[in-house]
Amino acid sequence: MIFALVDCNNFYVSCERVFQPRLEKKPVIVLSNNDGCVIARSNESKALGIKMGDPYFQIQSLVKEYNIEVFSSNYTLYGDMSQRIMQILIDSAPQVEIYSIDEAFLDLTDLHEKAEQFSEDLVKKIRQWTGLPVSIGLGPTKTLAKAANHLVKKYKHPTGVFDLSDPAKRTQLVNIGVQDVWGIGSKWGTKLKAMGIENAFQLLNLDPLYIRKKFNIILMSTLQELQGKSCIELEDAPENRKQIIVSRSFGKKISEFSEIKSALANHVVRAAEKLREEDGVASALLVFLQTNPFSQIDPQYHNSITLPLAVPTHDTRLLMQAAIKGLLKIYRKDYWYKKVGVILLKIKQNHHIQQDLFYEPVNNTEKSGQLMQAVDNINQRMGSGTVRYAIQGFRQKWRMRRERCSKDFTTCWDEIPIVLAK
Amino acid sequence: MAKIIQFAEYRSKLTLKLPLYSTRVAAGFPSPADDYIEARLDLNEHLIKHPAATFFVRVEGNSMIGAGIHENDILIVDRSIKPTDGKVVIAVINGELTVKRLKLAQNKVFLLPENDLFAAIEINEEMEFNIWGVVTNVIHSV
Repeated sequence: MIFALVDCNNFYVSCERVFQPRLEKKPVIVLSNNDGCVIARSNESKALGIKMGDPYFQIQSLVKEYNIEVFSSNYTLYGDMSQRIMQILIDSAPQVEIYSIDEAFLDLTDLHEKAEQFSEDLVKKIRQWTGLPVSIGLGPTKTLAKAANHLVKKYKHPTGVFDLSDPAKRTQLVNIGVQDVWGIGSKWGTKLKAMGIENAFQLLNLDPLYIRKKFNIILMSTLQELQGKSCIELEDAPENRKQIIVSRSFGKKISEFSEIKSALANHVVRAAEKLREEDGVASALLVFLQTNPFSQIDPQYHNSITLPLAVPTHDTRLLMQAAIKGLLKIYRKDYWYKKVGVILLKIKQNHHIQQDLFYEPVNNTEKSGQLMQAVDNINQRMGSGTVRYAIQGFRQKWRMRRERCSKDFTTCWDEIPIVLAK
Repeated sequence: MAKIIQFAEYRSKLTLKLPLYSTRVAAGFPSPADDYIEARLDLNEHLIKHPAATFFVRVEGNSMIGAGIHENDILIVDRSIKPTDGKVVIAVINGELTVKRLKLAQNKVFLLPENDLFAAIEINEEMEFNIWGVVTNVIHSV
């Protein structure tokens, strides 16, 4: 067996650099939702001591002193670039498991050429086709492939590829801290360190049955994977979701019902779009509302309500009616709220409902389906939110703070990159 | 106003609800063209050979007019194509995206304009330079 773990180096920063080449070799950071924390750093920013998760307000003096370029997360752009990488992987490798926005496992067992050469060529291809730098770790198990990928970056292997198939190379695992092994988080990491296990190589030398007794079968599988025995397969495409959650923290705390209603309406619209993308219908809906649990001064209130729907539906208007009814029930004035959200529940496939040969549309679901399709088509072509329900509001003071977003270089005609003919 | 509402109700009572068939029912005459029906022409299919590597950019300036590239045109850029001598390319020079014709001669790299008012650029070691992609088509509105 041979697995590869492909991932992009400093993905969000690298995406920004493709379309703004002046950022190359400069310290760059990307901030999380609401411009709160650092979620991506270029190597130059890492060298300045900026850590993942640092709150932005804490590092502002560093930003000023070193002219660090700061961006808000542009998920539209990152999502599009991610799709490109995944498309290239799917077209190049026998089997692909998309693991996250910038990571994928490949099963190269049936490849007709040597995995290491294939991987080096793939690194070059992705770099040329998309401008993004990737690293590839190889190994006989997924856990070793991930560890190998970690080592590529740590030691800046020039080809971008490192292979842990040869057991002799596994002494290098001494350079990976035990909490950085795939599947081991901070909790187990702390417990293992207390037992004297500091790095992956020490872990590898333990007896699996001993680990199973002291922890559980999952950690035992991880250990066996480190030892070269493959226990974790490539996963097939995940089943369609049973629940769809859309919620967002407000940019600033809000007390007015009408503003919360408008935020909720936007979430319902988005959730319904996702539902239709999967060709699903929901039979129940949950609305939740909460104040900021971290606030020292605001009184705390949080509540939720579940509303069953008379007929399984994907019609935004029916979902909207139910959601607003729910909000009216749980809203209390005189609180400062931080977050509202909607969860679509009991999702089933749409075609299960229409099997009946003499099906009579109730609530004009046929027409509503066509209307929803038309709305989706327009919003997809001209930008989300082009066709909106009046209830979603226009001033939208609750929107996320994203003051430093780059342009939508690949998805908006008005924002494609400019090239100079001068 | 009341009259209009009544009128609408009256009309809806005239409609007859028929059961729907969940599969299509063949209708109409067999057309002599049936065997020859083909898909309509699709610009995406015609112009974009490598979607994952294809990007669109907009032109500012007129230094490439001789190549049929005008201010405000949209260029289709395919990053998968090897940049060779004579191709129109997007090049990064000192951090900026520019459009030029590539010339490779005597082991040197030149970036040429297509407009007499502009000069050729020879790439040397001090310059920050790389090829961003190869231009395959120009979208020009007339």
